[in-house]
Amino acid sequence: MILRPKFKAKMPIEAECISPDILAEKRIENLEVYHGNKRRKLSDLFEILDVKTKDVRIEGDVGNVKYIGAKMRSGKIIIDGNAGMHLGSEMEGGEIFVEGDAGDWVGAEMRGGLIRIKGNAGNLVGAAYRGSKVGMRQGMIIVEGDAGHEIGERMKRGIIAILGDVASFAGAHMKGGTILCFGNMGERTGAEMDRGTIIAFNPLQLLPTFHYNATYNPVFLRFCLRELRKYDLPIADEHITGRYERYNGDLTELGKGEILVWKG
Amino acid sequence: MMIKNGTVYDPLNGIDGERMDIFVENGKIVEESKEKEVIDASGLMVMPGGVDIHSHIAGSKINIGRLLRPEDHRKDVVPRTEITRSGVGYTVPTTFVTGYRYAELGYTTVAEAAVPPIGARHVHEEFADTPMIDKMMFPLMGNNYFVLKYIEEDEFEKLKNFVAFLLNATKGYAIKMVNPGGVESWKWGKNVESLDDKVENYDVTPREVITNLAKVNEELGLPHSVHVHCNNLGAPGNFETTIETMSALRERIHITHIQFNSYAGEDWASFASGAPEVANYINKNEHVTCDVGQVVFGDATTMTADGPWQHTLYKLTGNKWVNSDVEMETGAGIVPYVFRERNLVNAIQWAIGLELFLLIEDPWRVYLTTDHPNAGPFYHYPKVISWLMSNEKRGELLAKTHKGVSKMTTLSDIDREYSLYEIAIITRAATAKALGLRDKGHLGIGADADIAIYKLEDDFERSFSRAKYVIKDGEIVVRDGKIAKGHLGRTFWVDAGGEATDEIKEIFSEYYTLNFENYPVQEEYLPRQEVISCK
Ligand SMILES: [Zn+2]
Repeated sequence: MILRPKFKAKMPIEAECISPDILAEKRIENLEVYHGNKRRKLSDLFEILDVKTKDVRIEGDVGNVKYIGAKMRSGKIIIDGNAGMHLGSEMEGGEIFVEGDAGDWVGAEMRGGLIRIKGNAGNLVGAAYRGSKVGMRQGMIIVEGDAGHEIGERMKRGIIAILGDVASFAGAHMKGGTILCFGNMGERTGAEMDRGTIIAFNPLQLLPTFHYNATYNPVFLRFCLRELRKYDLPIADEHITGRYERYNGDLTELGKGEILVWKG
Repeated sequence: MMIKNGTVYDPLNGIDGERMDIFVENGKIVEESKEKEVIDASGLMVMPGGVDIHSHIAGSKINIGRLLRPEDHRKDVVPRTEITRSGVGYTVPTTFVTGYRYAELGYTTVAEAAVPPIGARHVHEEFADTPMIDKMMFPLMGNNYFVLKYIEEDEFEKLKNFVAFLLNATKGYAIKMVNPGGVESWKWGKNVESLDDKVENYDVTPREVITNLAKVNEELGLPHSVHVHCNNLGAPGNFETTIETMSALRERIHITHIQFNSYAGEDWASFASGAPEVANYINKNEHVTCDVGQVVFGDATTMTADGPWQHTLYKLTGNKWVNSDVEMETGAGIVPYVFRERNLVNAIQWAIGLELFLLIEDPWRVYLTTDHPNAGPFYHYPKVISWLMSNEKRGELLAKTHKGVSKMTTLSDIDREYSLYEIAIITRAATAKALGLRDKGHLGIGADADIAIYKLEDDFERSFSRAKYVIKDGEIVVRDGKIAKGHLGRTFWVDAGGEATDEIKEIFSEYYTLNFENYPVQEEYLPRQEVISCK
């Protein structure tokens, strides 16, 4: 299916229905979205073509469209331009590819599937919504550009890989899972994390509540990185064979989390 | 208006399922009406509007609970309609959603059961935005500086004046005590463990607080009795404290959410039911009434002035926690909680609530509450009704709960089932009577025309979940379980006299964070009020 945006204005649109499962199961002429505070038909805002194919391609910029692929279970969404907030939030399976940038809350509380952003992502990638105990629980998010604050906040399982830089509080309150950052990491990385692994390929400023353990080459990481090469990540041989400084923390909390800093 | 041919349950007038016509005019029940409007109630059940004697729907702790729990709201979003405003649930709903959902259940009067006096203005502001229902609120007095001071100084008349002043200043309805003395001690990190412990920094015991305030209550002739959340709430073995509290008095006493205070055992491992002992005492002593605070499995938000207990609960659960110190008056704590069927303690708590309902013989003295939102949201009252009316229904749930329940409680030995008449008693007639609301809880001539009409189906829960019609002050406000018309209810408060003495004003200017002039709630804050004068 191909969706071509017909709107120009910057008015936010909420379109949970842009999900391969829903588009395949429901009558397209009945699908509704919010345009600002008005209910509109999906077909009022998008030209809808090639209805028979399950995978969805959005040809254009949908940076003002929220909740694309939210709760999706299967199939594929490809977005040629930018995507709005809550992309793939709570998704359970399937794949989302974005050529441009994505807003905040990419893959928030996701339970499975793959999201790949070619550009930058906003804040709270894979995070828990405010008040929830658990963020991302499964699946994988790759951001080829930079990402904002609090990525992987309260995540419990799954992988977030950021090829560029991340801002502050990455992995805050983390309970499990893995964050990899190939660029620079901001302040207070891993603040109040209980468990989980943060892998930094560049030096970073650590909180004083992280405790140095050892410099070594973790065996699990060799397997992990080799596996991740399948996802076309810039993992060099030196990353696999190199040594890492291990710090455990955050000691203000459980302290069973780890930050591994690549030393070459 | 004429409500024609309904099957009427009106226990205060001794009417048990009789086919009758009810007439309404100018918001009251009348002998006959010439108005043309007729509701055909053939095959429907007609009851007075529900009266909830203990719920938490407005004020500072509710608002802290709302702020604390965005995750609670996210799963229960209520969009605007032509008639109703938008809002959210779930355990700590917005004011409008609270009003709508009570009305949809057929409830028309609700008491907010714990208000720090200094927060009274906020409560009345929220009341003004809580539509459909009539409201009232109980100011907290069991740990108030002036109350402790006057008891310590043996100044009964001053105490009496202060209580009357406080009811007037807060536009309150009844004397509420929460863990009397214990919350004051909590300000020093302590608690009281028995009725005869000394309150930290005072030569006063919880027993003295309870007996003095009960005596004040009767001398002022307040419509409701003292409303007491006992010491040691939530703790294993606390049923003894509860019995001691009840037997400390000969005056009327209402023990609230008594389920949380009917525990046997020495610790969590030996946790068991103390309901038979408590019920036995109540059966033999007419001066006691109680509401249950029935546990409903699922999400809850615990919120109470009982700060030390909330700290214990926070330690037990590791959940998020807010503690509040209300300067001269009281405290509060808020902790989200989930009651689970498979958790032995939770399952025993659930069973204890039902034991109390079923073992207390006189339905006029045991009332339906879930201490909303402490033991579950009020929307689940129909579920509780179904457990009370059907042994089979509660058996089904009992079978799903932790196996230890049958050993630690007597629930599986009880086969009593409530009749519709008894349900009408514990949900409206008796609560109205206990609150001293003469025009509520019945359908006699002159009563307020607050009427709930239900369609009785095989499934009791469904029958009571959405009223077919609700009439409030003579107008149809709910039709087929949905709000048909917005309505502003009254706020009741009690004028017991009382004046702000120079001493009160002086202490105020010395120690309070606000000026005395800003303390009393002006009547402008009550857009529709009804003042109840004392006997
Ligand atoms: Zn309560």
